[in-house]
Amino acid sequence: MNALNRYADLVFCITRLIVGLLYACHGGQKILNFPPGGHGIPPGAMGMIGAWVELAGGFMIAFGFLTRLGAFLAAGEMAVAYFMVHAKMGYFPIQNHGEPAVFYCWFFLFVFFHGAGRFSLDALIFRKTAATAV
Amino acid sequence: MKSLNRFAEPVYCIMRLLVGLMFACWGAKLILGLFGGTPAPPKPILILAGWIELVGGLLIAIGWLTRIAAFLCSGTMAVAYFLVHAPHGFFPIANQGELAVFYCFIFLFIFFYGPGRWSIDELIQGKTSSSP
Repeated sequence: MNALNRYADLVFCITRLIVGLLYACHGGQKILNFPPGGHGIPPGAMGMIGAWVELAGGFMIAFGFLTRLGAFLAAGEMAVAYFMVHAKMGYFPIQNHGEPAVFYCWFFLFVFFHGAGRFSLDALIFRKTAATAV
Repeated sequence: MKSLNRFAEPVYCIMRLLVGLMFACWGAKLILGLFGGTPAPPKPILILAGWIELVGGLLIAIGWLTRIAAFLCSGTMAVAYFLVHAPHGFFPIANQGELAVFYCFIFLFIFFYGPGRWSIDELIQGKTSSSP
Protein backbone atom coordinates (compact mmCIF):
# COMPACT_ATOMS: atom_id res chain seq x y z
CA MET A 1 0.00 0.00 0.00
CA ASN A 2 2.96 2.31 0.38
CA ALA A 3 2.93 3.00 -3.35
CA LEU A 4 -0.10 5.20 -2.72
CA ASN A 5 2.02 7.54 -0.63
CA ARG A 6 3.76 8.71 -3.79
CA TYR A 7 0.60 10.60 -4.69
CA ALA A 8 -0.15 11.86 -1.17
CA ASP A 9 1.39 15.28 -1.80
CA LEU A 10 -0.59 15.79 -5.00
CA VAL A 11 -3.87 14.82 -3.31
CA PHE A 12 -2.98 17.05 -0.37
CA CYS A 13 -2.62 19.95 -2.80
CA ILE A 14 -6.07 19.25 -4.30
CA THR A 15 -7.66 18.88 -0.86
CA ARG A 16 -6.05 22.11 0.32
CA LEU A 17 -7.32 23.90 -2.79
CA ILE A 18 -10.91 22.66 -2.42
CA VAL A 19 -11.15 23.22 1.34
CA GLY A 20 -9.48 26.63 1.05
CA LEU A 21 -11.88 27.76 -1.66
CA LEU A 22 -14.91 26.47 0.26
CA TYR A 23 -13.68 28.45 3.24
CA ALA A 24 -13.16 31.57 1.15
CA CYS A 25 -16.79 31.21 -0.01
CA HIS A 26 -17.91 31.94 3.57
CA GLY A 27 -15.92 35.15 3.61
CA GLY A 28 -17.03 35.96 0.07
CA GLN A 29 -20.69 35.59 1.02
CA LYS A 30 -20.21 38.07 3.83
CA ILE A 31 -18.04 40.68 2.13
CA LEU A 32 -18.66 40.42 -1.63
CA ASN A 33 -22.13 38.89 -1.55
CA PHE A 34 -20.74 36.16 -3.78
CA PRO A 35 -21.63 33.25 -3.94
CA PRO A 36 -25.22 34.51 -3.59
CA GLY A 37 -27.30 33.69 -0.54
CA GLY A 38 -25.26 35.31 2.24
CA HIS A 39 -26.52 37.41 5.11
CA GLY A 40 -23.95 40.20 4.97
CA ILE A 41 -21.21 40.97 7.47
CA PRO A 42 -22.11 40.04 11.05
CA PRO A 43 -22.28 43.03 13.41
CA GLY A 44 -19.28 44.19 15.41
CA ALA A 45 -15.54 44.21 14.90
CA MET A 46 -15.30 40.44 15.38
CA GLY A 47 -17.67 39.77 12.53
CA MET A 48 -15.63 42.01 10.26
CA ILE A 49 -12.32 40.42 11.25
CA GLY A 50 -13.79 36.96 10.88
CA ALA A 51 -15.12 37.66 7.41
CA TRP A 52 -11.75 38.96 6.20
CA VAL A 53 -9.86 36.06 7.76
CA GLU A 54 -12.20 33.68 5.96
CA LEU A 55 -11.81 35.38 2.60
CA ALA A 56 -8.07 36.10 2.67
CA GLY A 57 -7.08 33.04 4.69
CA GLY A 58 -9.10 30.76 2.45
CA PHE A 59 -7.32 31.99 -0.68
CA MET A 60 -3.91 31.86 1.02
CA ILE A 61 -4.51 28.22 1.95
CA ALA A 62 -6.02 27.37 -1.43
CA PHE A 63 -3.03 28.61 -3.40
CA GLY A 64 -0.46 27.72 -0.80
CA PHE A 65 0.79 31.28 -0.31
CA LEU A 66 2.02 31.97 3.24
CA THR A 67 0.10 28.81 4.01
CA ARG A 68 1.08 28.30 7.61
CA LEU A 69 0.21 31.85 8.59
CA GLY A 70 -3.17 31.68 6.86
CA ALA A 71 -3.92 28.26 8.31
CA PHE A 72 -3.03 29.34 11.85
CA LEU A 73 -5.33 32.38 11.68
CA ALA A 74 -8.14 30.41 10.07
CA ALA A 75 -7.92 27.54 12.57
CA GLY A 76 -7.99 30.00 15.46
CA GLU A 77 -10.96 31.83 14.02
CA MET A 78 -12.90 28.59 13.61
CA ALA A 79 -12.16 27.56 17.20
CA VAL A 80 -13.57 30.91 18.38
CA ALA A 81 -16.57 30.53 16.08
CA TYR A 82 -17.29 27.05 17.41
CA PHE A 83 -17.16 27.98 21.07
CA MET A 84 -18.87 31.36 20.72
CA VAL A 85 -21.65 30.38 18.33
CA HIS A 86 -22.16 26.65 18.15
CA ALA A 87 -21.17 25.18 21.50
CA LYS A 88 -24.16 26.87 23.17
CA MET A 89 -26.60 25.15 20.84
CA GLY A 90 -25.83 21.59 21.91
CA TYR A 91 -23.09 19.12 22.76
CA PHE A 92 -22.69 17.16 19.54
CA PRO A 93 -21.35 18.98 16.45
CA ILE A 94 -23.91 17.17 14.29
CA GLN A 95 -26.70 18.80 16.30
CA ASN A 96 -25.33 22.28 16.96
CA HIS A 97 -24.46 22.93 13.29
CA GLY A 98 -20.82 23.31 14.24
CA GLU A 99 -19.58 20.41 12.13
CA PRO A 100 -18.02 22.57 9.40
CA ALA A 101 -16.37 24.71 12.08
CA VAL A 102 -14.78 21.67 13.74
CA PHE A 103 -13.75 20.35 10.38
CA TYR A 104 -12.14 23.61 9.22
CA CYS A 105 -10.45 24.10 12.56
CA TRP A 106 -8.73 20.71 12.60
CA PHE A 107 -7.94 20.53 8.94
CA PHE A 108 -6.27 23.96 9.06
CA LEU A 109 -4.41 22.99 12.20
CA PHE A 110 -3.06 19.99 10.31
CA VAL A 111 -2.14 22.28 7.39
CA PHE A 112 -0.36 24.57 9.86
CA PHE A 113 1.80 21.71 11.09
CA HIS A 114 2.18 19.83 7.84
CA GLY A 115 3.03 22.84 5.70
CA ALA A 116 1.95 23.67 2.17
CA GLY A 117 3.51 20.65 0.52
CA ARG A 118 5.43 20.47 -2.73
CA PHE A 119 2.71 21.85 -5.01
CA SER A 120 2.21 25.37 -3.68
CA LEU A 121 3.30 28.96 -4.20
CA ASP A 122 5.32 28.74 -0.98
CA ALA A 123 7.36 25.89 -2.42
CA LEU A 124 7.95 27.90 -5.60
CA ILE A 125 8.96 31.07 -3.75
CA PHE A 126 10.93 29.74 -0.80
CA ARG A 127 12.24 26.66 -2.55
CA LYS A 128 14.35 25.39 0.30
CA THR A 129 12.69 26.56 3.48
CA ALA A 130 8.98 25.92 2.97
CA ALA A 131 8.95 22.55 1.22
CA THR A 132 7.82 19.90 3.64
CA ALA A 133 9.98 16.95 4.45
CA VAL A 134 8.53 14.06 2.46
CA MET B 1 9.16 26.53 10.23
CA LYS B 2 10.28 22.98 9.64
CA SER B 3 10.28 22.25 13.35
CA LEU B 4 6.48 22.40 13.17
CA ASN B 5 6.50 19.30 10.99
CA ARG B 6 7.54 17.28 14.00
CA PHE B 7 4.01 17.67 15.34
CA ALA B 8 2.28 16.95 12.04
CA GLU B 9 1.71 13.28 12.90
CA PRO B 10 -0.01 13.78 16.28
CA VAL B 11 -2.22 16.51 14.78
CA TYR B 12 -3.01 14.23 11.85
CA CYS B 13 -4.04 11.55 14.33
CA ILE B 14 -6.37 13.90 16.22
CA MET B 15 -7.86 15.22 12.97
CA ARG B 16 -8.47 11.66 11.73
CA LEU B 17 -10.11 10.81 15.04
CA LEU B 18 -12.46 13.81 15.05
CA VAL B 19 -13.36 13.61 11.38
CA GLY B 20 -13.99 9.87 11.67
CA LEU B 21 -16.20 10.27 14.72
CA MET B 22 -18.22 13.12 13.21
CA PHE B 23 -18.69 10.99 10.09
CA ALA B 24 -19.82 8.03 12.21
CA CYS B 25 -22.44 10.32 13.80
CA TRP B 26 -24.19 10.56 10.42
CA GLY B 27 -24.28 6.77 10.22
CA ALA B 28 -25.59 6.56 13.78
CA LYS B 29 -28.30 9.03 12.84
CA LEU B 30 -29.41 6.93 9.86
CA ILE B 31 -29.02 3.43 11.32
CA LEU B 32 -29.40 3.75 15.08
CA GLY B 33 -31.76 6.73 15.13
CA LEU B 34 -29.50 8.76 17.40
CA PHE B 35 -29.13 12.58 17.23
CA GLY B 36 -32.76 13.08 16.27
CA GLY B 37 -32.86 10.25 13.74
CA THR B 38 -34.47 10.52 10.33
CA PRO B 39 -38.06 11.61 9.71
CA ALA B 40 -38.95 8.64 7.47
CA PRO B 41 -37.61 5.08 7.31
CA PRO B 42 -34.54 5.28 5.06
CA LYS B 43 -34.42 3.80 1.56
CA PRO B 44 -32.10 0.81 0.86
CA ILE B 45 -29.39 3.04 -0.65
CA LEU B 46 -29.46 5.17 2.50
CA ILE B 47 -29.17 2.10 4.72
CA LEU B 48 -26.07 1.06 2.77
CA ALA B 49 -24.68 4.58 3.06
CA GLY B 50 -25.52 4.62 6.77
CA TRP B 51 -23.58 1.44 7.45
CA ILE B 52 -20.58 2.70 5.46
CA GLU B 53 -20.70 5.96 7.42
CA LEU B 54 -21.02 4.28 10.81
CA VAL B 55 -18.46 1.50 10.36
CA GLY B 56 -16.13 3.41 8.05
CA GLY B 57 -16.15 6.46 10.30
CA LEU B 58 -15.21 4.41 13.35
CA LEU B 59 -12.51 2.51 11.45
CA ILE B 60 -10.97 5.77 10.24
CA ALA B 61 -11.21 7.26 13.73
CA ILE B 62 -9.21 4.47 15.34
CA GLY B 63 -7.00 3.99 12.29
CA TRP B 64 -7.84 0.36 11.59
CA LEU B 65 -7.98 -0.75 7.92
CA THR B 66 -7.77 2.97 7.34
CA ARG B 67 -7.13 3.05 3.62
CA ILE B 68 -9.93 0.66 2.69
CA ALA B 69 -12.41 2.47 4.92
CA ALA B 70 -11.31 5.87 3.63
CA PHE B 71 -11.69 4.75 0.01
CA LEU B 72 -15.24 3.50 0.62
CA CYS B 73 -16.26 6.59 2.60
CA SER B 74 -14.81 8.93 -0.01
CA GLY B 75 -16.75 7.16 -2.75
CA THR B 76 -19.95 7.26 -0.70
CA MET B 77 -19.62 11.00 -0.21
CA ALA B 78 -18.93 11.59 -3.91
CA VAL B 79 -22.14 9.72 -4.77
CA ALA B 80 -24.03 11.61 -2.06
CA TYR B 81 -22.84 14.94 -3.42
CA PHE B 82 -23.81 14.30 -7.03
CA LEU B 83 -27.02 12.44 -6.25
CA VAL B 84 -28.40 14.66 -3.51
CA HIS B 85 -26.70 18.06 -3.49
CA ALA B 86 -25.54 18.87 -7.03
CA PRO B 87 -29.09 19.29 -8.43
CA HIS B 88 -29.75 22.07 -5.89
CA GLY B 89 -27.18 24.53 -7.18
CA PHE B 90 -23.63 25.06 -8.36
CA PHE B 91 -21.92 26.32 -5.19
CA PRO B 92 -21.44 23.79 -2.38
CA ILE B 93 -22.11 26.56 0.14
CA ALA B 94 -25.55 27.10 -1.43
CA ASN B 95 -26.61 23.50 -2.17
CA GLN B 96 -25.84 22.25 1.37
CA GLY B 97 -23.20 19.92 -0.01
CA GLU B 98 -20.24 21.56 1.72
CA LEU B 99 -19.80 18.75 4.23
CA ALA B 100 -20.06 16.09 1.53
CA VAL B 101 -17.25 17.79 -0.41
CA PHE B 102 -15.17 18.02 2.76
CA TYR B 103 -15.56 14.41 3.69
CA CYS B 104 -14.98 13.25 0.15
CA PHE B 105 -11.66 15.05 -0.17
CA ILE B 106 -10.39 14.50 3.34
CA PHE B 107 -10.98 10.76 3.01
CA LEU B 108 -9.33 10.78 -0.41
CA PHE B 109 -6.34 12.42 1.23
CA ILE B 110 -6.39 9.85 4.04
CA PHE B 111 -6.56 7.06 1.44
CA PHE B 112 -3.33 8.29 -0.11
CA TYR B 113 -1.58 9.50 3.04
CA GLY B 114 -2.25 6.37 5.06
CA PRO B 115 -3.12 5.87 8.71
CA GLY B 116 -0.07 7.73 9.96
CA ARG B 117 2.22 6.74 12.76
CA TRP B 118 -0.38 6.82 15.53
CA SER B 119 -2.99 4.25 14.54
CA ILE B 120 -4.09 0.65 15.05
CA ASP B 121 -2.79 -0.23 11.58
CA GLU B 122 0.64 0.93 12.60
CA LEU B 123 0.50 -1.09 15.81
CA ILE B 124 -0.47 -4.24 13.91
CA GLN B 125 1.78 -3.96 10.89
CA GLY B 126 4.73 -2.13 12.33
CA LYS B 127 6.89 -1.19 9.41
CA THR B 128 4.74 -1.59 6.32
CA SER B 129 1.99 0.98 6.87
CA SER B 130 3.96 3.92 8.20
CA SER B 131 3.68 7.11 6.20
CA PRO B 132 6.82 8.94 5.11
